[in-house]
Amino acid sequence: MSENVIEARNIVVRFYISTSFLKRRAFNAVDNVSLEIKEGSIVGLVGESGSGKTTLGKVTLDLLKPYKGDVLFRGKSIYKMSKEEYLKYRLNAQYIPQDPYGSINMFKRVGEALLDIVMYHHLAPDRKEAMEIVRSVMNSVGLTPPDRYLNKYPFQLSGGERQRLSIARALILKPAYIVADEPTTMLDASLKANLVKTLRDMVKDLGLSLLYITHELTLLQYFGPDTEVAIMYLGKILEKGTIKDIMLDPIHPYTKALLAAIPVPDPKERYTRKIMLKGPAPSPLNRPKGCVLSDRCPFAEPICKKEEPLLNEISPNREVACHLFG
Amino acid sequence: MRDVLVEVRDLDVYYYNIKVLSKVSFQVYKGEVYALVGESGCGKTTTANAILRILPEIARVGEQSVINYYLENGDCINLLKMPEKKFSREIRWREISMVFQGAQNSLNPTLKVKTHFFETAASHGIMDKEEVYRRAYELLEAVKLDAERVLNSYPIELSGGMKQRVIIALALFLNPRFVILDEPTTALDVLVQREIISLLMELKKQFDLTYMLITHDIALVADIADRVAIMYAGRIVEESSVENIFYDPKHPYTIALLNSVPKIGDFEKLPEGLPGSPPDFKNLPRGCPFHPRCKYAMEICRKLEPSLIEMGDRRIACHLYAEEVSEE
Repeated sequence: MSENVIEARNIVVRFYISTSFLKRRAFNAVDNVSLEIKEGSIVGLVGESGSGKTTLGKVTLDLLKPYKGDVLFRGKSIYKMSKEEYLKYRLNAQYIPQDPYGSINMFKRVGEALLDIVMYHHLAPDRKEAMEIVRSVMNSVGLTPPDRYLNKYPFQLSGGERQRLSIARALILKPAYIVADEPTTMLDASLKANLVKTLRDMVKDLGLSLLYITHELTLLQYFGPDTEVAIMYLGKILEKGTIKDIMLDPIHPYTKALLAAIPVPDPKERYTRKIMLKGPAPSPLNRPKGCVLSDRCPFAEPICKKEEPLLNEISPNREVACHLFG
Repeated sequence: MRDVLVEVRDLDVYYYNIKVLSKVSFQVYKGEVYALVGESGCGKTTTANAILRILPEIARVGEQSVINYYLENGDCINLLKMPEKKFSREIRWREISMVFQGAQNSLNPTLKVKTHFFETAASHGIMDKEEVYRRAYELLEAVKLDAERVLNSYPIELSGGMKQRVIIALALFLNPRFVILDEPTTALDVLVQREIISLLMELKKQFDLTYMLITHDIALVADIADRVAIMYAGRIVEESSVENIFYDPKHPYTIALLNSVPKIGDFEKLPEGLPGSPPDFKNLPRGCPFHPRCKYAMEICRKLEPSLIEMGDRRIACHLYAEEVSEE
């Protein structure tokens, strides 16, 4: 199966900020980006805050309307779907939010929160069978035994358990496509691994597709060496490839800097590490002309400041947007 | 022997009647980076709050507990026995300050950055606004910000990294000698993390500071710490130099923590993550609090809590390394 579940084509998302009374300035949070997610595959979307990775994720879920571009679900544009088709897409595309503290209704018990979804979408004829669905989902995300959690309120759950509840909420509808937006940022390192592995196993068992948004490249390793990764910076995708190629042989200067910045748990490394990029990331409002990285890149040449490099396939499954390689 | 700056001895802290810190003892030497490491809820921040005496009202510190602080002139004072007025006038922020967790949230969104400096100064009796402004300007330059612009900005106009720099400048405002860094890099992007870390190390040199680093990020510890204490369930379970901890960890929990970080490009040996959940203070297991999650748990671990013993140049609380205790 190599059909794409989701295909985002030339997406431009434009945001406006008011600079003074009645005056607005536009900037593109996501600028002409395309992304494909194959049936049953995992794609990692990596970037710093403000790079537009969450925005792009939300566009594929139709939580945000792009300024330009098209999103296809199983080959059909979601903006031109009939009502039934759109409903089917809606049920099949789910979201795991970043913050398990802000995104869960604190007045609903775990059981109720999940049961409501089942009942609302008429997934089961009666409450008893609905309960069965709830229990099986809780088992699969690791909220076990379910009876221990059914009557708990969210405040009685730890961060890891809340995040598992978020995953359960997304999975209960058996979607074809899930966007997980940094589901592990609020968790300790020892729990991150568990959660990512849970997600990975679910994806494999249920055959779904996952867009995993994160700023931690190392976490994507759990999804296997052939996982596709796209590196985003200031609304552009700068490099695409498998996680293995990106980690062992980064090409774009930004990817190199990102990898060099990953902290390594070895005291000896502290003397050899340095910062590769100049200064902080500019706000998307002052995006430099030409290549988005040209003002910070140590290898920048005159052409980088003038002309924007396009994503170029330099070897199979490897695309880079850089004048130095292309 | 190196000069001790802070000595914490037998620190017990109770929230209502639940003991959240149990006999925490350690010394921080002058000029070093001492790291308290553990998962959330292990008592690292509580330890810091006890030193700065900002524990919530429901908290109670044990009678036997001592926190000694050595002043520049060599005098030693027990911070826990000091009257609050004197403590806030002479110690808090003037000697010991803290960079609080969550840069995003610890600035007041309705106040400009300069007002934060004025308020910090005013609460310590400094009213001369011009002087405060000058000092704030200096410090913001030291943390590599555009001082003029930042002083007149609201927090919302600053990025996460910039806010963290402001918080660091605020912590240094009254020239402290000891700075507690509570998760200084969480919630920041990797590239920004690197900048903040190298900034912190520069400032340490420039202002002759001693740091206590509180974090769950093992990699950050490897990067800047000199000595490390691993905490679990409100206890120190292992303490030694950063080299000992990283190259020769002994306590099963230390080993598990170190193994929880994935290595770049290594797809074969991905960390498993710790089984089970973090300890619940309301019903801690009998014996060693770590035994339900420990691979090597023995009979004795379920019955008797191991005490923190010295073993060469490290301290460790684990029955695997303490036959003499088990014979009793």
